[in-house]
Amino acid sequence: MQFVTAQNISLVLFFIGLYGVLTKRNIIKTIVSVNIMDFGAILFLITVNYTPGSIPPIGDTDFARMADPLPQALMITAIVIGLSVTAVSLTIFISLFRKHGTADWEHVIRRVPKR
Amino acid sequence: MIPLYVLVLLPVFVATLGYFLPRTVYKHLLIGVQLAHTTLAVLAVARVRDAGRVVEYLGGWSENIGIALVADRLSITLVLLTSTVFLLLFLFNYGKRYMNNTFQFLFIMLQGVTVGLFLAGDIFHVYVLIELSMLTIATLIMYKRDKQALYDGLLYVVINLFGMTFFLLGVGFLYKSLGTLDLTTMATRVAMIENPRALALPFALIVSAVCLKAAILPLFSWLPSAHGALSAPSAVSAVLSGLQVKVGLYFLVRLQQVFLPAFDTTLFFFFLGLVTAVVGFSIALVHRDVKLILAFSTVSQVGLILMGLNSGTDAAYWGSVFHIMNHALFKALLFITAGAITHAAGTRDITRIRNIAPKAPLFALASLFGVLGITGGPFFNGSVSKYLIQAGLAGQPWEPLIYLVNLGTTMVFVKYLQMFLPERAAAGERAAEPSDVATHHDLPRIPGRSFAMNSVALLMGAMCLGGGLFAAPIMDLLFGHTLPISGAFYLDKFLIFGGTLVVAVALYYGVVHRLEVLSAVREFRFTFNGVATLFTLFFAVVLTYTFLIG
Repeated sequence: MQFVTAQNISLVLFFIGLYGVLTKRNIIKTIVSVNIMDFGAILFLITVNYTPGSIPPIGDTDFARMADPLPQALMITAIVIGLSVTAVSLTIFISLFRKHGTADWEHVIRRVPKR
Repeated sequence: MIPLYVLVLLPVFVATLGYFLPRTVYKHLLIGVQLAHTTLAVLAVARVRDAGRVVEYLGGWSENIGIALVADRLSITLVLLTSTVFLLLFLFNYGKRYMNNTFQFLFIMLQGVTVGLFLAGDIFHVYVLIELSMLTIATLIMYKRDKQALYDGLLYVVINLFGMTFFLLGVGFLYKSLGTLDLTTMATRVAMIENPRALALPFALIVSAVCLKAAILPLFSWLPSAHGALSAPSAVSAVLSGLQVKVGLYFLVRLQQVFLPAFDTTLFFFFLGLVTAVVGFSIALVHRDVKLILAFSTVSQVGLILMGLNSGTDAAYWGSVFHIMNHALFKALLFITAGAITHAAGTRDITRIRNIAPKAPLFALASLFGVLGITGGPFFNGSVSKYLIQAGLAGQPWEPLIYLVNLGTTMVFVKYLQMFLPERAAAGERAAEPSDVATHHDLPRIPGRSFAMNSVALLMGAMCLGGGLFAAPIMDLLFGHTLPISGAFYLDKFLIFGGTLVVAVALYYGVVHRLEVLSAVREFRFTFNGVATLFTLFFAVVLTYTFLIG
């Protein structure tokens, strides 16, 4: 039984990211941690139906040996989405930092006026 | 016959292609598109009524490979609702200053994406559309530059991104064990799985993310800050509370149906709905900010709808679906009227807004219609849907709990109706703050009240009333559910409503109004790490529960 498989690595990545989200108060670290979780999930999906020795599903190849094309097609979309959402959250963070001058969730909360 | 994908792509395409047109031309073009969209949605409803379930595969692919668009009675009704509410809100915004091309573009995009979400028959498709709607909403709630609510926007984006990674991992596990992403095929394959426990992990991963979207306890803490954000135009708050929360509820119900052969989670979500409803109205009672009161009332209504959907009877199920529609209407109405009223009063503090009726008679009237709708006043739409949920629960031991939820909602809106009180009634509490007196007396007439705003508000109010008066034909037309209503029904409703109202007024002014400890709850806020931890705990609880019953 081999333990260092892509599946296990992806799950470990997911939980490292989860640890970061739960414990870090720095907003940048939170965004990075969420991205690590995202990559963990993406790696998991890519390797879902992987059998050793299969070839990339590109062009006119041997269909019998071809890797499952569906997860790969989907994950390109997921990577692009992850990129754009990260870009948006970092943009908001930059404005937030300019306004409140801190990168700490708890300090930000204290500086936002209560309603 | 119009293919279903037109409903999704029409707003998106026209909004993109016309983006560089001059502002007024663009606005009228989009109004035209929305009128066309509503017409198409009505045609689609008629088509589903005749043909039953309609499934279309995109791009000419065969079943189980292509992306499916599925329209059944539930989803097509929600599409029609989306189309109508967006049209009304767009018209309401007609003369607003912030209606530049970017705002209009994002607003119409959100319409297309929401319709796409209701029609999606493929779980990865759902993931993509949820992320897209999240980006659109994040921009919209921070739209008014002068009082940008950056913290609210960032919290919304990051917590949803966090939730969606769980969703994506869940999709991976599902694909691994079932080999499909299509919800219909998935349902048949779930029934063939020998050991349901193998599905507990993907179910818990996906359902936690969906519950985050639906703002179910304890995952609702992002909702009030997003829905009540200072920089969000009231039409955006209306869309979020009226429709976006329903997307989460809709997928929760869909997933429960797909996984029903493996585990029956109805009882779990029934009680979760009950707790959500009770906590939602309790917090709404504490707050003073008008928009926050409405946002927390949304949490409580979500709980009520969840209870009805999971009560296991036909009447309560369709009652809840009807309540989803009704809530979208009256909550949107309440948000837009509240936006205009708070703008005129210059404050969002409910204790300082008084005597709005003579200053904005039409808005006050429309607002009152909305309140009557949400509290279930006789002849209004809320009374019918609440009655159905209650009738569906009849005979079960938790029937009285519905009255409790109803009482809570009524109490929240007794508080909300303070703004109709004359100035004098509030004199006692204001004596302590003499500096504020000036702001009450010369409350300006509501500026920017245009023909469009007035007529949309009145139209929505009329729809709340019409939804109640013509409930039986509407439900028959849309869901094919016959409504058992007799003459005694209305007398009954009158008595219950009157009784609830009296108790609510007594309780609110007698007890809740005087409690000082409540201000502590008002000040309390979850930090981001707290919200994330709650989410992870919720996931762990769902996982354990499904594993045990599997």
